[in-house]
Amino acid sequence: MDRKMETKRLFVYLAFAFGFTWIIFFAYIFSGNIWMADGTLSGMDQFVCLAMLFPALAALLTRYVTREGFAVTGRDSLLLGISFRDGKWIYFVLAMILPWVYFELGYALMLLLSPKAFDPSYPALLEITEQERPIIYIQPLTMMISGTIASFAAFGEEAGWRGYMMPKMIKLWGAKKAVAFGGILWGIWHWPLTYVGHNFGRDYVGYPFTGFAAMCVMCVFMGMILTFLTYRTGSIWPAAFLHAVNNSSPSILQYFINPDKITGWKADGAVSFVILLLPMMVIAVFLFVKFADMKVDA
Amino acid sequence: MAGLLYKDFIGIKGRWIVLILTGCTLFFLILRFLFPGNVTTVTSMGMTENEAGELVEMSVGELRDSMLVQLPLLFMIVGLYPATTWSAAICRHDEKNKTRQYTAALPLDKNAYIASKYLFIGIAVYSLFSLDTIWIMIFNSVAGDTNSAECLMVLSQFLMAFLGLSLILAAIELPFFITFGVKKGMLVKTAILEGAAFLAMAYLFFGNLAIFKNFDIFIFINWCEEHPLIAVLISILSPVAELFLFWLSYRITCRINHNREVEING
Repeated sequence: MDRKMETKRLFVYLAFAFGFTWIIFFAYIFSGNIWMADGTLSGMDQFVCLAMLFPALAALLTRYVTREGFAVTGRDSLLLGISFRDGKWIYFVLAMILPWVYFELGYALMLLLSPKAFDPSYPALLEITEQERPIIYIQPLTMMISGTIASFAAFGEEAGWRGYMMPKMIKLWGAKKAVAFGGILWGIWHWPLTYVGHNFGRDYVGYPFTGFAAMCVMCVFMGMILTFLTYRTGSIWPAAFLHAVNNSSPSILQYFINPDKITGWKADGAVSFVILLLPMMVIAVFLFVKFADMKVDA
Repeated sequence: MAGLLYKDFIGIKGRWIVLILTGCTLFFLILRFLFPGNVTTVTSMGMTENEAGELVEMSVGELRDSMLVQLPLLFMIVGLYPATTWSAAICRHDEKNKTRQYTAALPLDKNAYIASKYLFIGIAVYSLFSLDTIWIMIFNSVAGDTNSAECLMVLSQFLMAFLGLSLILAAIELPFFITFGVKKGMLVKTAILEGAAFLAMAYLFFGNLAIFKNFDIFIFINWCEEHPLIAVLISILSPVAELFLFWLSYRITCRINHNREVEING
């Protein structure tokens, strides 16, 4: 392996991925936008999500510039193949269900820490009518299906981060360092959006720096699961599915937890986010131990 | 498999299609930001209905939205067409180049050829769905709070179900194209379509036309708002059913062609 060349390719990719995306993110910020300014996702908020496609574009451009080729499957490929053989199908199913499991566990943990936050009338406060109430109970299923089918944006990110960056980093530094560095870089990539209130809002102690740190922590742990899935299946699709379903936040309990009734340090935006994702982090460590035991060969 | 898919991509002149669709997306993006829908200045160009049902003069934004919304809406409807055309095109391309006989001699899985056809159409529909979602996002980015935006939002709920219809059409015609060849397959397709047209005409002559009397897109939107659970169930379960039918069609085609691979002359 030519380490110098691989490092060069990695930097070219990062320059493209950060360059393209941050142009959009900063244009969004400097035109005075704030994430969910009126409590709902505006058209412009949705539009800026299209920047999720840029890591894929960056990976393709890097491959073109550095003449790596565009092999679809196999070693040093785009990892686009799908195989359900040798029990690999289980990872595809896992990718769709796992976000529901850890989000539900996360909300249960929140309730355990703040039992008073349980509020059966909260759906009414969310302006969910009696007619719409049954939708709450099928929300996870809805998110799993629509997330999987409409996974193109998450695919955009995964094609870049897991499909190009991680194999390079694992080749260069080994699995443990790669997951840590990769996760931090992925977290930094989100910083402009974290600054405008994506994920944690803007009302938390140490804004925006604690948010920046929390984003990196979350991305490191999330990266563990996504890298595990990618390497187990040799495909970025399960990672894209999990990422898409994760972004849809599948959970029933979330509709019965009134955040206004959470008090003290647990009410802080960044802290509550970390509590929510604690089960995900435990699962990530468990899977990563398995992944680190694998003879990882990029 | 990747080679077979690339061959199909060439068969439908994929490079041109990608270039044209990318160009259209960029054009639409520029058009949308040049003509945002959130301009509230009133124009005398036309009238619209407000929430109270009264006729009022259109704002500049409403006028722009009502024109620009046609693009993603049109693409939503026209999106059905390419997928069905492509299933014939990829089979015709193979017949012309005798690709099937060639692949039969390759060390590929027995069903790889059939799988590639289904996979290609699946990928095409997924790409068209993704592209239309991108167009809807572009439209909404600077859309005003108008009827056009609301209409598009409700219809986009059914985008998956709607584009999935092209999977059903492909699921019906691909077994014929693969088993009997495009020429005979087209005959069967034409017969089915003519039968459907005949039934539709028979209904227009003898059926109960009163059901179309009050047909209006806003009645549909209101129905969706009054029956949110059913609307959500339809929008999420229909793509699952469509995918299941598509898979079933693949299994049937594999079964029919199990011992016929070497006999094919097409």
